[in-house]
Amino acid sequence: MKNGKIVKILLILLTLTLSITPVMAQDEVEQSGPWADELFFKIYLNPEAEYLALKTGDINIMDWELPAEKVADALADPSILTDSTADLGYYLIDINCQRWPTSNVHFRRALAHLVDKSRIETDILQGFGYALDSPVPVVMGGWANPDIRTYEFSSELAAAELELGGFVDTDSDGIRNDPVTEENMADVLFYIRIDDPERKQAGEWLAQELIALGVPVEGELAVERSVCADAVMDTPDGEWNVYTGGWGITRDPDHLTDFYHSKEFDPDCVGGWRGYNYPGFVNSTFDTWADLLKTESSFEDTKEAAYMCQKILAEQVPGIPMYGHVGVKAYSADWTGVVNMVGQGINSWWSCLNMHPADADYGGVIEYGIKSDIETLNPLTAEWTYTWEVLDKIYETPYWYNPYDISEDWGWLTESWDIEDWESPTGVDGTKITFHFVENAKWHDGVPFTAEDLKFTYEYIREFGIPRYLPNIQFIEDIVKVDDYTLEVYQNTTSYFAFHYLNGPSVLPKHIWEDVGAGWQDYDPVAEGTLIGLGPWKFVEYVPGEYVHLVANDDYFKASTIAKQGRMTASLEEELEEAALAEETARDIAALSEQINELTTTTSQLESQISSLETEISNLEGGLTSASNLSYASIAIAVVVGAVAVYMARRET
Amino acid sequence: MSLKSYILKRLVYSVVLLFFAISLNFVIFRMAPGNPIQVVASGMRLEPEMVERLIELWGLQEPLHVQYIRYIRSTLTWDFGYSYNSLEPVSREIMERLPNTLVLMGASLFFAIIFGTVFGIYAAYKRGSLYDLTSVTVSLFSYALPTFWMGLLMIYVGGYVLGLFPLAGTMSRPPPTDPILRVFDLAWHLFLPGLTLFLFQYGGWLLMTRSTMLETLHEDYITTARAKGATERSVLFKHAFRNAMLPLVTNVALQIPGLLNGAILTETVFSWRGLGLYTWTAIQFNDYPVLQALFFIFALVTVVCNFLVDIVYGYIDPRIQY
Repeated sequence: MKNGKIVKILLILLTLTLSITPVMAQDEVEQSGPWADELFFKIYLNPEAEYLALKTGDINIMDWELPAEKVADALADPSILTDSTADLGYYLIDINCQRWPTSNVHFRRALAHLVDKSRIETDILQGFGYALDSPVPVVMGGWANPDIRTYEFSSELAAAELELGGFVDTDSDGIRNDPVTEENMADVLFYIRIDDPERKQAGEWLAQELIALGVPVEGELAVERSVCADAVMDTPDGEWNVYTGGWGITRDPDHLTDFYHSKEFDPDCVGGWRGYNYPGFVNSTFDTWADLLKTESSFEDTKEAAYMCQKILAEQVPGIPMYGHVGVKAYSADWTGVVNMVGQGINSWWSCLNMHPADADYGGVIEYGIKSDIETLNPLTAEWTYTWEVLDKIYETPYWYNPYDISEDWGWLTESWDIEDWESPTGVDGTKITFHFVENAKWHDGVPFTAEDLKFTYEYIREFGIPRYLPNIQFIEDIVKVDDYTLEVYQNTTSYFAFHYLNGPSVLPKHIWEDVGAGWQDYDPVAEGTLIGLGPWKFVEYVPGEYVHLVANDDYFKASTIAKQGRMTASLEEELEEAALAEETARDIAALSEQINELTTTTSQLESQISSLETEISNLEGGLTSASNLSYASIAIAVVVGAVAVYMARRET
Repeated sequence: MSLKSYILKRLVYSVVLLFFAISLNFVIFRMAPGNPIQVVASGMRLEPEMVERLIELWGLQEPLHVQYIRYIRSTLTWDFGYSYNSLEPVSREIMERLPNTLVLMGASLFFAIIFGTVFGIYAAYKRGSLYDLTSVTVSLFSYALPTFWMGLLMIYVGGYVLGLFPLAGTMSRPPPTDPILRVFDLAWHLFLPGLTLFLFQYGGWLLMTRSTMLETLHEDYITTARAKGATERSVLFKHAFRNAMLPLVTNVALQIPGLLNGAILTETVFSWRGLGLYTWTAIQFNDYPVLQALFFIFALVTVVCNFLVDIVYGYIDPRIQY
């Protein structure tokens, strides 16, 4: 009962937070910084320890999502604030469109009617997620089509769809008959991920609903992702029907093309697997719209294509979107400027730029709890998400986007840009993108940034085939530096998203990386002392397994004037204090020297007095010695005289 | 058989065993589901040229027997290739983490052996007493508790409620420059994870010592020793414990391989940068080169320890004939 109440309270709070997040919008984002002086990333490999560190004040902000049982405690703690964010990703029931009976659209629609999303929301996610009908989650804002076919949870509607498909229990033995063989249906092969309790539960419920409707199911409880990947994605025959899948996505809805275009389906696994479209969805109308989605150059046309793709997917059901996740993260109430970025949450790049103590306009040390050690600080080999939580504070990409509306690009290093149609020499339609850069950007070592640096970055990636960034530059035909602050990039695609691809790689300093050449893979910028970026934070130190230390870059091209001047003033005050202290010390030293001199003089006077006294003593001693010598001589003479006198007297007698 | 030929025979056995372990290590990872390219891609879209590049980089285009020979050669030269996750050399990453694991496991095992043995002997000596009952109950309790749970409890009580110890990590920030202070700092950070592992191992040691001591205390030679008028201390330590320590010595050697992999949960809970944590991360990311290297090291340590036990046993047990 008590737990039920807590869950209800949480649900309300989370819903409220989610609903007000977009309203907070841009006025909460300060487009300059960093406002804090220093940034420490401290590694906590489990959420409990990180949460306790927040409570003890060891850190100011968490990147672990709060464990469900800690949310009530965090909400009740006045020293902690929480915020929730929906992930950029979704969980779904993947359906093999190439294997009977799931190749039948009515069967797939029946499956869609059997997924009880509201039960998943309340009983499984318990407020930490939301139901989905489209593979474009609502957090992607305008890209999500609100007007698509939805499937109410209903076994009656599912049964009706099955009957439309010819799956009827003709012999009344409790098992539906196959419309092709007229025999009892063969087992539906269901791969359920048991490494994820949420997907396991959702999958088991669906399997139970199917069985209850007379559809035999063979449940393959796959132990983990790679086992499923082997059976579902890597096998040419595709010996599966249903799978509890999930995807992480980016801010662009081009995943619709990647996941469901027929060209992404590789039935013979020539490329080593069945491709992103491993459900084997092949639909020419969809393909047309999916192609347009990736080639249209205007936002409106691209959006229309995205809408149509979602509409077709909802009709044809190659997958059943189930839910997206919502995570709650916490930070210290003593801090302000936290930016709850869409898809990422409070531990965003913008938070690090904006955060400062609530009782001061700037300054302080951000203690940022990070859930993993970093693997490498080489920006070309770093793959790990948490490594990039550090690296993206040091390096810079050409532009940024609104953290509250991720479809809106913001000028940054690139102050503005022009996108024009262009036809390549081979006659392919393309685009010419002209970047206009800010003129005050400097690398952390003081060298000015120019257009040459971005040109070098793209060319370096292409020349050495840097795997992480090859997809980003795959459409580049030519790069022309117009002047130090203008660069033209010619791409052989008209895609609206191609501009976003160019924002993937972090800009590299040419004056450092041109010497690295082919040795990029083994290059260690930390050891070489060349972890030099353009970003708001400068690298100081990394202690493996412990922490990463960064300091505010006051020469950042978007530096906050107030914070910068404040820091300069503080630094000057510190210098003055030091100078004053030095002056005082000098005075003290002078006084002491004087005393020492006086003492020395006194000492020398005393020494001379001692010396004269010693002389006198010595004279006296000399006198005494002479006197005593005289005495001895007198005695000797007396004795001799006496002896002579005695002798003489005896002689006389 | 002379001692020399006995050692030689055990050495040959050990090398053959190690060879099988290495080969099995190769086969297991080739049979494992999923392909490494996808592991690296992890949802990222890879272009065909990228796939080819990675295949070439890891030599996956070569026939299995060539891969096997290359694997044997590189294993024996301590070259485990590059981690799929960090793209850093695996051997370097292992060497960076090894000292932390040795410190954590070594300290906890050392104290567990000392305390477990002493209190185990006393519990056996006082069999049936309140002390014995309490010791056995506490040992069973500490031995049965999951280490991750105990670790979280330690963090909560020692780190949060009492605020006496750090919640994570191996050193303070900034680390002390004075070597002595640095040792103290390490010991301070080591306390909670070490105590967690100590409690886990201590119970086992106490129960085993008690059980072996109980067996020997009922032997005729103990009665004879007492009849000869030997003191209780002499009976306990010179006569009983000396004979009871044979299985304990074996167990120490066999526990050493467990030192390397037993700390997975503890290191993860305490953010302790050692081999256990490395293993956990590698499992999470299907980082096969790392897992292959770690399994090889575990196998190597096990084989070496077994070999040493065989040799040491011959020295401490006069009944062993070569």
